[in-house]
Amino acid sequence: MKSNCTTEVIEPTLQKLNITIEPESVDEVYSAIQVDLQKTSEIKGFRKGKVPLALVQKIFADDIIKKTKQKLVEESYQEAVQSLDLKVVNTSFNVPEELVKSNPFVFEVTVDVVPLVEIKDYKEISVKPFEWENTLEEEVEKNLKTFREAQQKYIEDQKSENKEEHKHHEHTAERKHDHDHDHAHEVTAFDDNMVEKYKVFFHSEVQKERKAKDEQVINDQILDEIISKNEIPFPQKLIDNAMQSELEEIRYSKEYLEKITDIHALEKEYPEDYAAIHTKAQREVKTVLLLGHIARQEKIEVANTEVTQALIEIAQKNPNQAKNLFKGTKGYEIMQRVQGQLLLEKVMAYLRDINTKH
Amino acid sequence: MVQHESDYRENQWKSLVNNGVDLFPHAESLCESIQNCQKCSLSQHRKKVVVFKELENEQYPYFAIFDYPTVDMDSSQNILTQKDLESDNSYQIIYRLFEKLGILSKVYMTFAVKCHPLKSLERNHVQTCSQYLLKEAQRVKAKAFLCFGERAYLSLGMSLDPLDRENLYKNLLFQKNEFKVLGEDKTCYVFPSVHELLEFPQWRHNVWAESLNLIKTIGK
Repeated sequence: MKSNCTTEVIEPTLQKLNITIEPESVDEVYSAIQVDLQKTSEIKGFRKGKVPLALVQKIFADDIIKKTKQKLVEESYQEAVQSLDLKVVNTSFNVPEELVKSNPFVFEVTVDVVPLVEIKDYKEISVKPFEWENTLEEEVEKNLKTFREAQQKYIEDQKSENKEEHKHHEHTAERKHDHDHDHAHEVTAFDDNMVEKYKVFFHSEVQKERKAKDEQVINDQILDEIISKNEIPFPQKLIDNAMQSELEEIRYSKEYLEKITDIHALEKEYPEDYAAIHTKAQREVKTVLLLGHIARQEKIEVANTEVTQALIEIAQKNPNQAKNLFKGTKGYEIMQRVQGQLLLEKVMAYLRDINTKH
Repeated sequence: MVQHESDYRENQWKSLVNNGVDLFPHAESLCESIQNCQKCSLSQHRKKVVVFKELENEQYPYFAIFDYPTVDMDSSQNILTQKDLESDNSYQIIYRLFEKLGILSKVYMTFAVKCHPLKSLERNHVQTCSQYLLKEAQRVKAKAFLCFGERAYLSLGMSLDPLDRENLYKNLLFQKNEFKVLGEDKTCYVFPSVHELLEFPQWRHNVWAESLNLIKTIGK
Protein backbone atom coordinates (compact mmCIF):
# COMPACT_ATOMS: atom_id res chain seq x y z
CA MET A 1 0.00 0.00 0.00
CA LYS A 2 1.39 3.41 -0.97
CA SER A 3 1.27 5.65 2.06
CA ASN A 4 3.28 8.34 3.80
CA CYS A 5 3.58 8.71 7.51
CA THR A 6 4.80 11.70 9.47
CA THR A 7 5.26 11.55 13.23
CA GLU A 8 4.81 14.22 15.81
CA VAL A 9 6.35 13.51 19.22
CA ILE A 10 4.01 14.97 21.83
CA GLU A 11 5.75 13.34 24.80
CA PRO A 12 8.53 10.72 24.93
CA THR A 13 5.81 8.10 25.34
CA LEU A 14 3.11 9.72 23.18
CA GLN A 15 3.31 10.18 19.41
CA LYS A 16 0.88 11.29 16.76
CA LEU A 17 1.10 9.56 13.37
CA ASN A 18 -0.33 11.39 10.36
CA ILE A 19 -0.87 8.81 7.66
CA THR A 20 -1.69 9.75 4.07
CA ILE A 21 -2.72 7.00 1.67
CA GLU A 22 -2.12 7.63 -2.02
CA PRO A 23 -5.21 7.80 -4.32
CA GLU A 24 -4.04 4.72 -6.29
CA SER A 25 -4.10 2.60 -3.15
CA VAL A 26 -7.52 3.97 -2.17
CA ASP A 27 -8.93 3.01 -5.58
CA GLU A 28 -7.22 -0.36 -5.50
CA VAL A 29 -8.72 -1.34 -2.15
CA TYR A 30 -12.12 0.14 -3.08
CA SER A 31 -12.25 -1.93 -6.28
CA ALA A 32 -11.11 -5.09 -4.48
CA ILE A 33 -13.88 -4.72 -1.87
CA GLN A 34 -16.41 -4.01 -4.62
CA VAL A 35 -15.40 -7.13 -6.57
CA ASP A 36 -15.55 -9.23 -3.41
CA LEU A 37 -19.09 -8.05 -2.76
CA GLN A 38 -20.02 -8.67 -6.39
CA LYS A 39 -18.94 -12.29 -6.03
CA THR A 40 -21.02 -12.90 -2.92
CA SER A 41 -24.06 -10.65 -3.33
CA GLU A 42 -27.41 -12.12 -4.30
CA ILE A 43 -29.70 -9.57 -5.93
CA LYS A 44 -33.10 -10.37 -7.41
CA GLY A 45 -33.03 -10.65 -11.18
CA PHE A 46 -29.31 -11.59 -11.36
CA ARG A 47 -27.41 -14.81 -10.95
CA LYS A 48 -25.01 -14.95 -8.00
CA GLY A 49 -21.75 -13.25 -8.89
CA LYS A 50 -23.23 -11.66 -12.05
CA VAL A 51 -24.60 -8.46 -10.53
CA PRO A 52 -23.22 -5.42 -12.45
CA LEU A 53 -20.51 -3.56 -10.55
CA ALA A 54 -22.41 -0.28 -10.90
CA LEU A 55 -25.39 -1.86 -9.14
CA VAL A 56 -23.19 -3.36 -6.41
CA GLN A 57 -21.73 0.09 -5.86
CA LYS A 58 -25.22 1.60 -5.63
CA ILE A 59 -26.68 -0.95 -3.24
CA PHE A 60 -23.67 -1.49 -1.00
CA ALA A 61 -22.21 2.03 -1.20
CA ASP A 62 -22.09 2.52 2.58
CA ASP A 63 -20.79 -0.97 3.19
CA ILE A 64 -18.04 -0.61 0.56
CA ILE A 65 -16.86 2.69 2.04
CA LYS A 66 -16.88 1.28 5.57
CA LYS A 67 -14.91 -1.82 4.59
CA THR A 68 -12.49 0.16 2.42
CA LYS A 69 -11.75 2.59 5.24
CA GLN A 70 -11.25 -0.26 7.66
CA LYS A 71 -8.80 -2.05 5.39
CA LEU A 72 -6.89 1.13 4.48
CA VAL A 73 -6.53 2.17 8.12
CA GLU A 74 -5.53 -1.27 9.40
CA GLU A 75 -2.93 -1.99 6.72
CA SER A 76 -1.34 1.45 6.52
CA TYR A 77 -1.16 1.70 10.31
CA GLN A 78 0.58 -1.69 10.59
CA GLU A 79 3.03 -0.66 7.86
CA ALA A 80 3.78 2.63 9.63
CA VAL A 81 4.34 0.93 12.99
CA GLN A 82 6.67 -1.63 11.40
CA SER A 83 8.66 0.93 9.42
CA LEU A 84 9.07 3.21 12.47
CA ASP A 85 9.83 0.22 14.73
CA LEU A 86 7.44 1.40 17.43
CA LYS A 87 6.46 -0.59 20.50
CA VAL A 88 2.82 0.47 20.74
CA VAL A 89 0.83 -0.16 23.90
CA ASN A 90 -2.30 1.85 23.16
CA THR A 91 -3.90 3.52 20.11
CA SER A 92 -6.54 6.14 19.45
CA PHE A 93 -7.70 6.51 15.83
CA ASN A 94 -9.10 9.68 14.35
CA VAL A 95 -10.57 8.57 11.02
CA PRO A 96 -12.66 10.95 8.87
CA GLU A 97 -16.23 9.98 7.95
CA GLU A 98 -15.78 10.66 4.26
CA LEU A 99 -13.79 8.66 1.77
CA VAL A 100 -13.62 9.96 -1.79
CA LYS A 101 -12.47 7.73 -4.60
CA SER A 102 -9.28 8.83 -6.45
CA ASN A 103 -8.39 11.17 -3.61
CA PRO A 104 -5.78 10.72 -0.89
CA PHE A 105 -7.15 9.38 2.38
CA VAL A 106 -5.70 11.03 5.47
CA PHE A 107 -6.11 9.97 9.08
CA GLU A 108 -4.42 10.38 12.45
CA VAL A 109 -3.45 7.88 15.10
CA THR A 110 -2.28 8.83 18.56
CA VAL A 111 -0.14 6.07 20.01
CA ASP A 112 1.27 5.41 23.46
CA VAL A 113 4.71 3.95 22.88
CA VAL A 114 7.51 2.46 24.85
CA PRO A 115 10.62 4.32 23.70
CA LEU A 116 13.69 2.25 22.85
CA VAL A 117 16.30 2.74 25.57
CA GLU A 118 19.61 1.05 26.26
CA ILE A 119 19.62 -0.69 29.63
CA LYS A 120 22.97 -0.50 31.42
CA ASP A 121 24.60 -2.03 34.49
CA TYR A 122 22.70 -5.29 34.52
CA LYS A 123 25.81 -7.40 34.57
CA GLU A 124 28.14 -7.93 37.51
CA ILE A 125 25.52 -7.19 40.10
CA SER A 126 26.58 -8.52 43.48
CA VAL A 127 23.86 -10.76 44.79
CA LYS A 128 23.59 -12.37 48.19
CA PRO A 129 21.90 -15.80 48.35
CA PHE A 130 19.25 -16.39 50.97
CA GLU A 131 20.66 -17.78 54.20
CA TRP A 132 18.69 -20.76 55.39
CA GLU A 133 18.59 -21.47 59.11
CA ASN A 134 18.63 -25.26 58.68
CA THR A 135 20.31 -27.58 56.23
CA LEU A 136 18.22 -29.39 53.66
CA GLU A 137 18.32 -32.66 55.68
CA GLU A 138 17.33 -30.91 58.87
CA GLU A 139 14.42 -29.26 57.11
CA VAL A 140 13.27 -32.62 55.71
CA GLU A 141 13.44 -34.22 59.18
CA LYS A 142 11.52 -31.30 60.64
CA ASN A 143 8.79 -31.60 58.03
CA LEU A 144 8.63 -35.34 58.47
CA LYS A 145 8.30 -34.99 62.24
CA THR A 146 5.48 -32.46 61.92
CA PHE A 147 3.75 -34.67 59.39
CA ARG A 148 4.01 -37.78 61.57
CA GLU A 149 2.69 -35.91 64.58
CA ALA A 150 -0.25 -34.66 62.56
CA GLN A 151 -0.98 -38.14 61.24
CA GLN A 152 -0.72 -39.65 64.72
CA LYS A 153 -3.22 -37.11 66.01
CA TYR A 154 -5.52 -37.89 63.13
CA ILE A 155 -5.40 -41.63 63.86
CA GLU A 156 -6.12 -41.07 67.53
CA ASP A 157 -9.04 -38.82 66.68
CA GLN A 158 -10.41 -41.46 64.33
CA LYS A 159 -10.09 -44.13 67.00
CA SER A 160 -11.96 -42.09 69.60
CA GLU A 161 -14.68 -41.28 67.07
CA ASN A 162 -15.02 -44.93 66.12
CA LYS A 163 -15.28 -45.97 69.75
CA GLU A 164 -18.17 -43.61 70.27
CA GLU A 165 -19.83 -44.83 67.14
CA HIS A 166 -19.20 -48.43 68.20
CA LYS A 167 -21.16 -47.86 71.40
CA HIS A 168 -24.20 -46.90 69.36
CA HIS A 169 -23.95 -49.91 67.08
CA GLU A 170 -22.51 -52.65 69.27
CA HIS A 171 -25.58 -54.81 68.76
CA THR A 172 -24.64 -55.24 65.07
CA ALA A 173 -21.83 -57.77 64.72
CA GLU A 174 -21.26 -57.04 61.05
CA ARG A 175 -20.75 -53.34 61.73
CA LYS A 176 -18.19 -54.14 64.45
CA HIS A 177 -16.19 -56.25 62.06
CA ASP A 178 -16.07 -53.35 59.57
CA HIS A 179 -14.72 -50.98 62.20
CA ASP A 180 -11.98 -53.33 63.24
CA HIS A 181 -10.96 -53.74 59.65
CA ASP A 182 -10.83 -49.91 59.15
CA HIS A 183 -8.59 -49.46 62.22
CA ALA A 184 -6.15 -52.03 60.99
CA HIS A 185 -5.90 -50.34 57.61
CA GLU A 186 -5.35 -46.84 59.04
CA VAL A 187 -2.68 -47.96 61.45
CA THR A 188 -0.73 -49.80 58.79
CA ALA A 189 -1.06 -46.84 56.34
CA PHE A 190 0.94 -44.62 58.68
CA ASP A 191 3.36 -47.25 59.83
CA ASP A 192 7.09 -46.53 60.11
CA ASN A 193 7.71 -48.64 57.02
CA MET A 194 6.37 -45.76 54.94
CA VAL A 195 8.77 -43.23 56.44
CA GLU A 196 11.42 -43.71 53.77
CA LYS A 197 8.92 -43.06 51.02
CA TYR A 198 7.70 -39.88 52.71
CA LYS A 199 11.29 -38.82 53.27
CA VAL A 200 12.02 -38.96 49.54
CA PHE A 201 8.83 -37.02 48.83
CA PHE A 202 9.62 -34.32 51.40
CA HIS A 203 13.19 -34.08 50.15
CA SER A 204 12.07 -33.22 46.64
CA GLU A 205 9.36 -30.84 47.87
CA VAL A 206 11.68 -28.93 50.22
CA GLN A 207 14.33 -28.79 47.51
CA LYS A 208 11.81 -27.28 45.05
CA GLU A 209 10.60 -24.81 47.63
CA ARG A 210 14.14 -23.74 48.53
CA LYS A 211 15.12 -23.36 44.89
CA ALA A 212 12.10 -21.12 44.21
CA LYS A 213 12.85 -19.01 47.28
CA ASP A 214 16.57 -18.74 46.35
CA GLU A 215 15.63 -17.64 42.83
CA GLN A 216 13.07 -15.17 44.09
CA VAL A 217 15.54 -13.54 46.47
CA ILE A 218 18.18 -13.24 43.76
CA ASN A 219 15.59 -11.97 41.22
CA ASP A 220 14.48 -9.25 43.63
CA GLN A 221 18.05 -8.12 44.26
CA ILE A 222 18.88 -8.03 40.55
CA LEU A 223 15.67 -6.16 39.67
CA ASP A 224 16.11 -3.66 42.51
CA GLU A 225 19.60 -2.92 41.28
CA ILE A 226 18.61 -2.55 37.61
CA ILE A 227 15.54 -0.44 38.40
CA SER A 228 17.59 1.91 40.58
CA LYS A 229 20.26 2.36 37.92
CA ASN A 230 17.99 2.79 34.88
CA GLU A 231 15.34 5.45 34.43
CA ILE A 232 12.96 4.44 31.67
CA PRO A 233 10.02 6.48 30.46
CA PHE A 234 6.79 4.52 30.19
CA PRO A 235 3.22 5.38 29.16
CA GLN A 236 0.75 6.06 31.95
CA LYS A 237 -1.69 3.72 30.20
CA LEU A 238 0.47 0.74 31.15
CA ILE A 239 0.36 1.68 34.83
CA ASP A 240 -3.41 2.20 34.63
CA ASN A 241 -3.92 -1.22 33.06
CA ALA A 242 -1.67 -2.93 35.59
CA MET A 243 -3.45 -1.18 38.46
CA GLN A 244 -6.86 -2.15 37.10
CA SER A 245 -5.82 -5.82 36.89
CA GLU A 246 -4.41 -5.68 40.42
CA LEU A 247 -7.63 -4.09 41.68
CA GLU A 248 -9.69 -6.88 40.06
CA GLU A 249 -7.59 -9.41 41.95
CA ILE A 250 -7.76 -7.82 45.40
CA ARG A 251 -11.44 -6.86 45.17
CA TYR A 252 -12.47 -10.41 45.96
CA SER A 253 -10.14 -10.78 48.92
CA LYS A 254 -11.06 -7.47 50.58
CA GLU A 255 -14.77 -7.11 51.24
CA TYR A 256 -14.76 -3.33 51.57
CA LEU A 257 -13.46 -3.03 47.99
CA GLU A 258 -16.32 -5.06 46.52
CA LYS A 259 -18.10 -2.02 45.08
CA ILE A 260 -14.96 -0.26 43.81
CA THR A 261 -14.72 -0.98 40.12
CA ASP A 262 -12.06 1.43 38.87
CA ILE A 263 -8.81 2.87 40.15
CA HIS A 264 -10.06 6.47 40.19
CA ALA A 265 -12.79 5.52 42.65
CA LEU A 266 -10.18 3.64 44.69
CA GLU A 267 -7.97 6.74 44.81
CA LYS A 268 -10.84 8.80 46.22
CA GLU A 269 -12.21 6.23 48.66
CA TYR A 270 -9.17 4.30 49.84
CA PRO A 271 -5.97 6.27 49.15
CA GLU A 272 -3.79 3.84 51.14
CA ASP A 273 -4.85 0.86 49.04
CA TYR A 274 -4.40 2.99 45.93
CA ALA A 275 -0.84 3.88 46.93
CA ALA A 276 0.00 0.24 47.59
CA ILE A 277 -1.42 -0.85 44.23
CA HIS A 278 0.32 2.03 42.48
CA THR A 279 3.73 1.08 43.86
CA LYS A 280 3.21 -2.54 42.95
CA ALA A 281 1.98 -1.73 39.45
CA GLN A 282 4.85 0.65 38.82
CA ARG A 283 7.40 -1.97 39.76
CA GLU A 284 5.61 -4.57 37.66
CA VAL A 285 5.55 -2.34 34.57
CA LYS A 286 9.17 -1.27 35.04
CA THR A 287 10.22 -4.90 35.42
CA VAL A 288 8.44 -6.02 32.27
CA LEU A 289 9.83 -3.14 30.22
CA LEU A 290 13.38 -3.51 31.52
CA LEU A 291 13.41 -7.23 30.88
CA GLY A 292 11.95 -6.62 27.40
CA HIS A 293 14.74 -4.17 26.60
CA ILE A 294 17.38 -6.58 27.93
CA ALA A 295 15.88 -9.37 25.82
CA ARG A 296 16.24 -7.14 22.75
CA GLN A 297 19.82 -6.15 23.64
CA GLU A 298 20.89 -9.73 24.37
CA LYS A 299 18.83 -11.14 21.50
CA ILE A 300 16.95 -13.52 23.77
CA GLU A 301 13.94 -15.02 22.02
CA VAL A 302 11.29 -17.62 22.65
CA ALA A 303 10.99 -20.30 19.99
CA ASN A 304 7.57 -21.42 18.77
CA THR A 305 8.30 -24.94 19.97
CA GLU A 306 8.81 -23.64 23.50
CA VAL A 307 5.46 -21.84 23.39
CA THR A 308 3.73 -24.95 22.05
CA GLN A 309 5.32 -27.07 24.78
CA ALA A 310 4.14 -24.63 27.46
CA LEU A 311 0.63 -24.59 25.98
CA ILE A 312 0.52 -28.39 25.97
CA GLU A 313 1.49 -28.42 29.64
CA ILE A 314 -1.28 -25.91 30.42
CA ALA A 315 -3.76 -27.98 28.41
CA GLN A 316 -2.80 -31.12 30.34
CA LYS A 317 -3.38 -29.31 33.62
CA ASN A 318 -6.72 -27.82 32.45
CA PRO A 319 -8.27 -30.43 30.12
CA ASN A 320 -11.66 -28.69 30.23
CA GLN A 321 -10.30 -25.51 28.71
CA ALA A 322 -7.84 -27.18 26.34
CA LYS A 323 -9.95 -26.30 23.28
CA ASN A 324 -9.78 -22.54 23.95
CA LEU A 325 -6.00 -22.59 24.11
CA PHE A 326 -5.56 -23.30 20.42
CA LYS A 327 -8.61 -21.61 18.93
CA GLY A 328 -9.64 -18.10 17.85
CA THR A 329 -8.77 -14.74 19.33
CA LYS A 330 -8.77 -16.03 22.89
CA GLY A 331 -6.27 -18.72 21.95
CA TYR A 332 -4.06 -16.10 20.30
CA GLU A 333 -4.22 -13.90 23.42
CA ILE A 334 -3.27 -16.82 25.66
CA MET A 335 -0.42 -17.70 23.32
CA GLN A 336 0.87 -14.12 23.43
CA ARG A 337 0.68 -14.09 27.22
CA VAL A 338 2.48 -17.42 27.50
CA GLN A 339 5.13 -16.22 25.07
CA GLY A 340 5.64 -13.04 27.12
CA GLN A 341 5.86 -14.99 30.36
CA LEU A 342 8.39 -17.42 28.89
CA LEU A 343 10.50 -14.53 27.62
CA LEU A 344 10.53 -12.87 31.04
CA GLU A 345 11.51 -16.16 32.68
CA LYS A 346 14.29 -16.65 30.13
CA VAL A 347 15.70 -13.17 30.67
CA MET A 348 15.53 -13.59 34.43
CA ALA A 349 17.34 -16.95 34.18
CA TYR A 350 19.99 -15.27 32.01
CA LEU A 351 20.42 -12.45 34.55
CA ARG A 352 20.69 -14.91 37.45
CA ASP A 353 23.20 -16.91 35.50
CA ILE A 354 25.54 -14.01 34.65
CA ASN A 355 25.26 -12.40 38.07
CA THR A 356 25.85 -15.48 40.23
CA LYS A 357 28.86 -16.83 38.30
CA HIS A 358 31.33 -14.58 40.06
CA MET B 1 -39.96 -6.55 10.95
CA VAL B 2 -43.03 -6.17 8.71
CA GLN B 3 -45.23 -5.60 11.74
CA HIS B 4 -42.85 -2.95 12.96
CA GLU B 5 -42.88 -1.14 9.62
CA SER B 6 -46.67 -1.22 9.33
CA ASP B 7 -46.95 0.19 12.85
CA TYR B 8 -44.55 2.92 11.88
CA ARG B 9 -46.64 3.83 8.82
CA GLU B 10 -49.88 3.72 10.80
CA ASN B 11 -48.44 6.10 13.39
CA GLN B 12 -47.20 8.42 10.68
CA TRP B 13 -50.63 8.49 9.07
CA LYS B 14 -52.43 8.99 12.39
CA SER B 15 -50.18 11.91 13.24
CA LEU B 16 -51.10 13.54 9.93
CA VAL B 17 -54.81 13.14 10.61
CA ASN B 18 -54.44 14.33 14.20
CA ASN B 19 -52.65 17.42 12.98
CA GLY B 20 -55.76 18.41 11.02
CA VAL B 21 -54.56 17.54 7.56
CA ASP B 22 -57.32 18.11 5.02
CA LEU B 23 -57.88 15.84 2.09
CA PHE B 24 -57.66 17.01 -1.48
CA PRO B 25 -60.92 16.66 -3.41
CA HIS B 26 -59.20 16.67 -6.81
CA ALA B 27 -55.82 16.97 -8.46
CA GLU B 28 -55.98 20.66 -9.21
CA SER B 29 -56.38 21.53 -5.57
CA LEU B 30 -53.50 19.24 -4.69
CA CYS B 31 -51.36 21.07 -7.20
CA GLU B 32 -52.49 24.42 -5.89
CA SER B 33 -51.78 23.37 -2.33
CA ILE B 34 -48.27 22.16 -2.91
CA GLN B 35 -47.04 24.42 -5.68
CA ASN B 36 -45.81 26.90 -3.09
CA CYS B 37 -44.39 24.24 -0.80
CA GLN B 38 -41.24 25.48 0.96
CA LYS B 39 -40.85 22.61 3.39
CA CYS B 40 -37.46 21.40 2.21
CA SER B 41 -34.32 22.70 0.48
CA LEU B 42 -35.44 21.36 -2.92
CA SER B 43 -37.85 24.30 -3.19
CA GLN B 44 -34.89 26.67 -3.60
CA HIS B 45 -33.73 25.22 -6.93
CA ARG B 46 -36.86 23.75 -8.54
CA LYS B 47 -38.75 25.56 -11.27
CA LYS B 48 -42.08 24.07 -10.28
CA VAL B 49 -43.79 21.31 -8.34
CA VAL B 50 -44.62 18.48 -10.73
CA VAL B 51 -47.83 16.47 -10.32
CA PHE B 52 -49.90 14.27 -12.63
CA LYS B 53 -53.37 15.22 -13.76
CA GLU B 54 -56.06 13.07 -12.27
CA LEU B 55 -58.42 11.42 -14.71
CA GLU B 56 -61.94 12.39 -13.79
CA ASN B 57 -64.60 9.95 -12.65
CA GLU B 58 -62.30 6.97 -12.88
CA GLN B 59 -61.40 4.35 -10.37
CA TYR B 60 -57.70 3.65 -9.93
CA PRO B 61 -56.92 0.07 -9.02
CA TYR B 62 -53.22 0.80 -9.36
CA PHE B 63 -51.15 3.44 -7.60
CA ALA B 64 -47.71 3.90 -9.21
CA ILE B 65 -45.05 5.87 -7.34
CA PHE B 66 -41.89 7.09 -9.09
CA ASP B 67 -38.80 8.58 -7.44
CA TYR B 68 -38.74 12.19 -8.75
CA PRO B 69 -39.49 14.23 -11.94
CA THR B 70 -36.88 14.64 -14.67
CA VAL B 71 -35.31 17.96 -15.77
CA ASP B 72 -37.68 18.10 -18.76
CA MET B 73 -40.71 17.70 -16.50
CA ASP B 74 -39.36 20.45 -14.27
CA SER B 75 -39.20 22.76 -17.27
CA SER B 76 -42.62 21.80 -18.71
CA GLN B 77 -46.14 22.48 -17.47
CA ASN B 78 -47.12 21.94 -13.84
CA ILE B 79 -49.63 19.20 -14.38
CA LEU B 80 -48.54 16.19 -16.40
CA THR B 81 -50.79 13.73 -18.17
CA GLN B 82 -50.07 10.09 -18.87
CA LYS B 83 -49.60 11.08 -22.50
CA ASP B 84 -46.66 13.33 -21.55
CA LEU B 85 -44.68 10.26 -20.52
CA GLU B 86 -44.65 9.02 -24.10
CA SER B 87 -42.30 11.79 -25.16
CA ASP B 88 -40.12 11.77 -22.05
CA ASN B 89 -36.74 10.14 -22.65
CA SER B 90 -36.67 8.36 -19.29
CA TYR B 91 -40.32 7.70 -18.48
CA GLN B 92 -41.41 6.46 -21.91
CA ILE B 93 -40.35 3.00 -20.75
CA ILE B 94 -43.09 3.19 -18.10
CA TYR B 95 -45.61 4.51 -20.62
CA ARG B 96 -44.93 1.53 -22.88
CA LEU B 97 -45.17 -0.90 -20.00
CA PHE B 98 -48.55 0.34 -18.84
CA GLU B 99 -49.79 0.67 -22.41
CA LYS B 100 -48.84 -2.91 -23.27
CA LEU B 101 -50.38 -4.15 -20.06
CA GLY B 102 -53.54 -2.24 -21.01
CA ILE B 103 -53.78 -0.40 -17.69
CA LEU B 104 -52.62 3.08 -18.73
CA SER B 105 -55.93 4.66 -17.75
CA LYS B 106 -56.18 2.59 -14.57
CA VAL B 107 -52.97 3.79 -12.98
CA TYR B 108 -52.78 6.79 -10.67
CA MET B 109 -49.24 8.13 -11.07
CA THR B 110 -47.33 10.27 -8.65
CA PHE B 111 -43.81 11.09 -7.52
CA ALA B 112 -42.31 10.34 -4.14
CA VAL B 113 -40.57 13.70 -4.36
CA LYS B 114 -42.47 16.24 -6.40
CA CYS B 115 -39.59 18.62 -7.15
CA HIS B 116 -36.66 17.89 -9.41
CA PRO B 117 -33.54 17.56 -7.23
CA LEU B 118 -30.72 19.62 -8.68
CA LYS B 119 -28.12 17.99 -6.46
CA SER B 120 -28.34 14.89 -4.27
CA LEU B 121 -31.67 13.68 -2.96
CA GLU B 122 -31.62 13.13 0.78
CA ARG B 123 -33.85 11.12 3.04
CA ASN B 124 -35.48 14.13 4.66
CA HIS B 125 -36.66 15.32 1.22
CA VAL B 126 -38.55 12.04 0.77
CA GLN B 127 -39.94 12.12 4.30
CA THR B 128 -41.15 15.72 3.92
CA CYS B 129 -42.88 15.00 0.63
CA SER B 130 -44.40 11.69 1.78
CA GLN B 131 -47.19 13.53 3.61
CA TYR B 132 -48.57 14.70 0.23
CA LEU B 133 -48.26 11.19 -1.13
CA LEU B 134 -50.14 9.66 1.79
CA LYS B 135 -52.96 12.15 1.26
CA GLU B 136 -53.17 11.11 -2.39
CA ALA B 137 -53.15 7.45 -1.40
CA GLN B 138 -56.04 7.99 0.98
CA ARG B 139 -58.12 9.65 -1.70
CA VAL B 140 -57.38 7.19 -4.52
CA LYS B 141 -57.95 3.97 -2.50
CA ALA B 142 -56.04 1.81 -4.94
CA LYS B 143 -55.88 -1.98 -4.63
CA ALA B 144 -52.19 -2.28 -5.43
CA PHE B 145 -49.16 -0.07 -5.02
CA LEU B 146 -46.31 -0.14 -7.53
CA CYS B 147 -43.14 1.47 -6.10
CA PHE B 148 -40.59 2.23 -8.79
CA GLY B 149 -37.40 2.77 -6.81
CA GLU B 150 -36.28 2.83 -3.20
CA ARG B 151 -37.41 6.42 -2.67
CA ALA B 152 -40.91 5.43 -3.73
CA TYR B 153 -40.77 2.54 -1.25
CA LEU B 154 -39.45 4.88 1.43
CA SER B 155 -42.21 7.42 0.81
CA LEU B 156 -44.80 4.87 1.98
CA GLY B 157 -43.23 5.27 5.40
CA MET B 158 -40.84 2.31 5.24
CA SER B 159 -37.60 2.47 7.15
CA LEU B 160 -34.56 2.07 4.94
CA ASP B 161 -31.14 2.05 6.52
CA PRO B 162 -28.18 0.48 4.67
CA LEU B 163 -29.11 -3.00 5.88
CA ASP B 164 -32.73 -2.58 4.78
CA ARG B 165 -31.51 -1.44 1.39
CA GLU B 166 -29.73 -4.77 0.98
CA ASN B 167 -32.89 -6.54 2.14
CA LEU B 168 -34.94 -4.53 -0.36
CA TYR B 169 -32.84 -5.59 -3.35
CA LYS B 170 -32.31 -9.11 -2.08
CA ASN B 171 -35.79 -10.07 -0.86
CA LEU B 172 -38.49 -7.51 -1.59
CA LEU B 173 -37.76 -6.65 -5.21
CA PHE B 174 -40.20 -8.18 -7.76
CA GLN B 175 -42.01 -9.80 -4.89
CA LYS B 176 -45.70 -9.61 -4.01
CA ASN B 177 -45.62 -7.94 -0.59
CA GLU B 178 -48.58 -7.35 1.68
CA PHE B 179 -48.13 -4.05 3.50
CA LYS B 180 -50.52 -2.10 5.65
CA VAL B 181 -51.07 1.23 3.92
CA LEU B 182 -53.33 3.69 5.72
CA GLY B 183 -54.68 0.95 7.94
CA GLU B 184 -55.61 -1.44 5.14
CA ASP B 185 -53.74 -4.44 3.75
CA LYS B 186 -52.54 -3.59 0.27
CA THR B 187 -50.65 -5.51 -2.36
CA CYS B 188 -47.38 -3.72 -2.89
CA TYR B 189 -44.76 -4.45 -5.53
CA VAL B 190 -41.29 -2.91 -5.36
CA PHE B 191 -39.63 -2.48 -8.74
CA PRO B 192 -36.32 -0.85 -9.69
CA SER B 193 -36.49 2.87 -10.34
CA VAL B 194 -36.97 4.21 -13.86
CA HIS B 195 -33.31 5.21 -14.01
CA GLU B 196 -32.23 1.75 -12.83
CA LEU B 197 -34.39 0.10 -15.52
CA LEU B 198 -32.59 2.22 -18.10
CA GLU B 199 -29.17 1.48 -16.63
CA PHE B 200 -29.71 -2.24 -16.00
CA PRO B 201 -32.00 -3.51 -18.80
CA GLN B 202 -31.65 -7.09 -17.46
CA TRP B 203 -34.32 -6.18 -14.91
CA ARG B 204 -37.01 -5.21 -17.42
CA HIS B 205 -38.28 -8.74 -18.06
CA ASN B 206 -38.73 -9.24 -14.30
CA VAL B 207 -40.90 -6.11 -14.17
CA TRP B 208 -42.95 -7.34 -17.10
CA ALA B 209 -43.43 -10.84 -15.67
CA GLU B 210 -44.46 -9.63 -12.23
CA SER B 211 -46.77 -6.95 -13.65
CA LEU B 212 -48.60 -9.65 -15.63
CA ASN B 213 -49.03 -11.68 -12.43
CA LEU B 214 -50.36 -8.61 -10.69
CA ILE B 215 -52.94 -7.90 -13.41
CA LYS B 216 -54.12 -11.49 -13.22
CA THR B 217 -54.81 -10.97 -9.53
CA ILE B 218 -56.25 -7.45 -9.54
CA GLY B 219 -57.75 -7.30 -13.04
CA LYS B 220 -57.74 -4.52 -15.64
